[in-house]
Amino acid sequence: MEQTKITFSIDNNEIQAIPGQSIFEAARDSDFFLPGICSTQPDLGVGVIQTCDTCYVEIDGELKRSCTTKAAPDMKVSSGSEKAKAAQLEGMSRILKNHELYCTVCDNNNGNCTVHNTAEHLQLNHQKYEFTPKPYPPDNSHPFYRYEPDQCILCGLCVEACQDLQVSEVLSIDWERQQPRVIWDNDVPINESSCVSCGHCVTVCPCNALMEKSMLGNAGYLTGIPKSVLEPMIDLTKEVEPGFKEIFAISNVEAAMREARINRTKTVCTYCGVGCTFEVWTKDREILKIQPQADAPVNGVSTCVKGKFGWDFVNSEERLTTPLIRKGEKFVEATWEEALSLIGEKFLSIKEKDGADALGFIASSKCSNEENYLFQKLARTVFKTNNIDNCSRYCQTPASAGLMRTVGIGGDSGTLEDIASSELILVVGANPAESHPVLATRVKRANKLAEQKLIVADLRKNDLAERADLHIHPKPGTDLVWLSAITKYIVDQGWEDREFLNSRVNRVEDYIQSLNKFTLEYAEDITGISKETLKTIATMIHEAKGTCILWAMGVTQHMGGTDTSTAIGNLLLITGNFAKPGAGAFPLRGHNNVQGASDFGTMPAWLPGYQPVENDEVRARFEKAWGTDIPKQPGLNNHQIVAAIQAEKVKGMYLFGEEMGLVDSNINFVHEAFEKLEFFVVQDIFFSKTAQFADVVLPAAPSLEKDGTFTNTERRIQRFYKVFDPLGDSKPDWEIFQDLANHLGANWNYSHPGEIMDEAAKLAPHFAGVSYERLEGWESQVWPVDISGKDTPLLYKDKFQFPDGKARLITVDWTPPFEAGADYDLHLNNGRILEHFHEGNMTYKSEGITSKVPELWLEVSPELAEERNIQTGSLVRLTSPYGHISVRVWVTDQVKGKELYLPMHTTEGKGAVNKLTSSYHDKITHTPNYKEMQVKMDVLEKDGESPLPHHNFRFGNPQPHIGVETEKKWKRSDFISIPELVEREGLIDGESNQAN
Amino acid sequence: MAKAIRQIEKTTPSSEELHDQDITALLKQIVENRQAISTSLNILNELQQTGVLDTLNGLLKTRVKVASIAMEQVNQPSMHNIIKNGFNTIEFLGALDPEKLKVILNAVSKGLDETSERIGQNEPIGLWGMMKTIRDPDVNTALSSMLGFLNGMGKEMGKGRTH
Repeated sequence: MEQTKITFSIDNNEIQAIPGQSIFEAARDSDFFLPGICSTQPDLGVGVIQTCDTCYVEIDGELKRSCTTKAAPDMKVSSGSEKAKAAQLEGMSRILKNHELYCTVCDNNNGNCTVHNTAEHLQLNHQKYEFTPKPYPPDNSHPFYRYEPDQCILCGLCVEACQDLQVSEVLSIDWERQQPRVIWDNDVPINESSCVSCGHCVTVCPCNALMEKSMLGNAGYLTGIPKSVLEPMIDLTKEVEPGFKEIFAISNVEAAMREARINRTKTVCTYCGVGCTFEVWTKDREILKIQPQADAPVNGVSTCVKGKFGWDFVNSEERLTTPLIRKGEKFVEATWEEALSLIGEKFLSIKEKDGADALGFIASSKCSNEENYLFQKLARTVFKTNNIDNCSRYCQTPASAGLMRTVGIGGDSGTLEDIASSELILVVGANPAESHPVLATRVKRANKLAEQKLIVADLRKNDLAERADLHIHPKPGTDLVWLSAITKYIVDQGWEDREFLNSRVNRVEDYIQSLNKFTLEYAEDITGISKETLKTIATMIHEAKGTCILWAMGVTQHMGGTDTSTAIGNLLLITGNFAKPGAGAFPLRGHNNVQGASDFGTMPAWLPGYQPVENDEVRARFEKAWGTDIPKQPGLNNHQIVAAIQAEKVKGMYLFGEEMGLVDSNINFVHEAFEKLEFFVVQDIFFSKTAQFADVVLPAAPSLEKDGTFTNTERRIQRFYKVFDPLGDSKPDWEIFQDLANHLGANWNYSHPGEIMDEAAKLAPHFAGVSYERLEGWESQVWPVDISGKDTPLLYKDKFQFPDGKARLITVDWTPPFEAGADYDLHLNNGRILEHFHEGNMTYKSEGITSKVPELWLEVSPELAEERNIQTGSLVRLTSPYGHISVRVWVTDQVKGKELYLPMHTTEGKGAVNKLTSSYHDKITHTPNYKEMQVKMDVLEKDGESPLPHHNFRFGNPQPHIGVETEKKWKRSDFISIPELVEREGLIDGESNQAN
Repeated sequence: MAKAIRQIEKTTPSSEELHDQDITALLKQIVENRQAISTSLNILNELQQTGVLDTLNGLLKTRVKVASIAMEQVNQPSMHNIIKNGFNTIEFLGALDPEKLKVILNAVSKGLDETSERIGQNEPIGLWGMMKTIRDPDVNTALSSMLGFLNGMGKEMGKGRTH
């Protein structure tokens, strides 16, 4: 619906505004420049922050802030009148009292410096107030960014971003001291604060006060000048005071010259399923910084520590740069020709001898849609097997399966917008603040500012649980029971959405019947959650206009993972929480392309777009397009492939972009299987643990060295662009697949991933209208996309994905979790942490991240620590029926009683959690039951160094408040409001009425 | 039956091989840019002969020191004045209307011609003569333009005055 716009004028130019818009916003949307430094960011939280005082305009003879004054029909606004100009110049002069202009030798002089551009636009020529340095040295303590108080204009955008967008609540401006400044926590060095290194503050800083250290001395032609020369140069410039016009003229030339050597390339982050996009700024092969842009559809200006700062791995010396072939007890370097010939020969001979199904293919949820598409095409058309799967089997397949059963599509039913605007968020078995940090910011913000309610069900008191309106701690592996009990209670109260159920859902009565056993008493008994609490949750869902349920591996990695996911679908259906904004099901995808890898067909039973391989019509369509026949029987999944290797049925395997040797469960068993393989090809960017078992190792190129698309947790397809050439002889994965296929006579001819996408779009109705042209730049498409290019951010508006268009309530029952036996008395929980990704092959390459988190730890509750007489730093051995590991302890009240938490990030395998996990799995999808294990603990050393350094954010001391607290600035005795000053000083010579 | 191994035999090219590779690459570039390189060599030769290269070499080797000294010298009050005056002069020239300036300069030039003629004659002039001369249309025009100039100059000077 197009809103009717109103018209008003600024300096006699007609400007259109949406009703309710401020003058500043309307001007900005019409490309009419109004100064306004603190309004240059999109709304970070509380809206306008009114700190910069540069946006004054004159309306009916009065000075008003354009950022807070709503545009009204026929309003006559003057920005160029003498009075308005005087006010703007006064505002700007106050800013420059806090900020020295040495633009040409400043690393922020890249054409996008807001302070520079505003001062230049205002044609400010001389400084009214002398610049005075603040009595604080720069803070260089943090590994990734610095704060220079002398350059800080005290606009508070960083504070607003930290308090109300990222909601880590670290930064404040201390307005009460003589010389205000930004402080971290209660004024400690940055590196000792609760700063999570997300980079929001640096990104929104309108000048060079907060800057990435990677930029300093690197971005400009003159910024690397040694201090002994630089300082006198700045002094000279000040002394001569050529006027700002001249300074700007020179700095603009220098900024333009920088364009010649600094490239800005859009990419998609590869560190989780949220799908943040941003620019990578590079100089040759050096990464200067990650620059998020407000246009990014998912994250806007948001990032987390990994996305903002974790890219050193790309240029790591440990990158694989040449193919390796196993010769006896060592690997020797080989040419691509040698490696591909050997692979072709070995795989074909296994196929001849033992049949096509003696080959297995493991795809990568870290690689692109096009690469996954080509890999399954390689397996199916060249090697004639459906034995292909990807790592979503380890995490999210049960969630997809649960949704396919109930609503038909295995993916988030809406987008981040729905999560942000929902009235109630229920998080089950997920820790988004660490695993999906940018998504979590939207929940934290809505909870803090918009009164969104938040319920967290988790064993650990994680960041979201800490903030939640209600945190429940069910006994491990019992989520299905309390979810079903709530559903039953809602039906018993008559709170179900009858109209929705009648018109849009099948099997309603059968399902309601099946809930009989899930009484509140039964649930309390099994889950340990009181009846009252269960009623409270049910009531909160009932009272909210819309509920979003977010879940992840705490739900899926159980023997009943699919059933619990189904119970979530059921609960949402009963309460009518599908097909409307601000509601729905959100399985949070862990890796950047978990969604896309499955979407594009690296699954044993599905061709791209979730089309069953068994269906003759579907297969015929693919066979025609591919010009060859493909096998009909669904193949083996990851788990079954490992079992089949053990049974000596699968003899050759090709794996790319997956550290299966550490992340599959029960890895001792998996390593045994690897050893049994006749021929094993591993393709990766690093020499991984898995690669150690390979016969041929192929060097691949990471996302920054190729083009492609990823699909995030919202089903949103986004393009990433090549930043660098592949390092050494490494190649993009899709090129390697094509080369191998062509070695075996397939005659593929793709010159760009865009052509692969075109082919997939023709074959999969879900992606019919997807094309690289439509995905240019910041554009994105949320599938299903029809042929015209129209996408579907909100699913099921008209129909559910079943032939009759109706959803299905599915009867499920609780599967009691695996019990290791009485000897194993401690429950072992496991998962991710904020700073590292997956086993850590990429993030440990960052010196800064490694300084924050150098090694693994085991979280032990204070109660257990006391009972076992251990403390932070103690070394313990954990033993399960499947193996043992040793690790140092961190005592924290994040975990309770006899529950332990072990992060999964280790590249060496010493503390690898999967030495402890079993081979039991979800009944339906074969996803391992990683979250169902008990261990016993032996103390090896009582005393030792803490595994977690003191300068980790977990030991910080956040200072929550709302916004930048501008009122405190206005209360200062030395503050005079600008309109008052303009009147008092008669800056406009009593002639103000001549304006307009 | 492949055990996990970590040993990678890197066929790292020997330093001689690397050297050879580099030389081959360089030779290729030289061949492709023969003309440009030979011209550059000629220029370098000239610079060498005139001693310019030696001077540059010295400057570059001591660049930080030299720059510090230069900045020290530049950062003196007299230098500040020169730079400020430079900026002011440039600004002044930029503000002038070339057409107007042309008229004035032509007039000055003609005036100078007359001046040199009069200097040759060395004729005394009395009060009456002076009065008579003022009435001369040319002199009158010049005088009234001068008064106009003084008027404008006075206005600019008076700008700082409060009412």
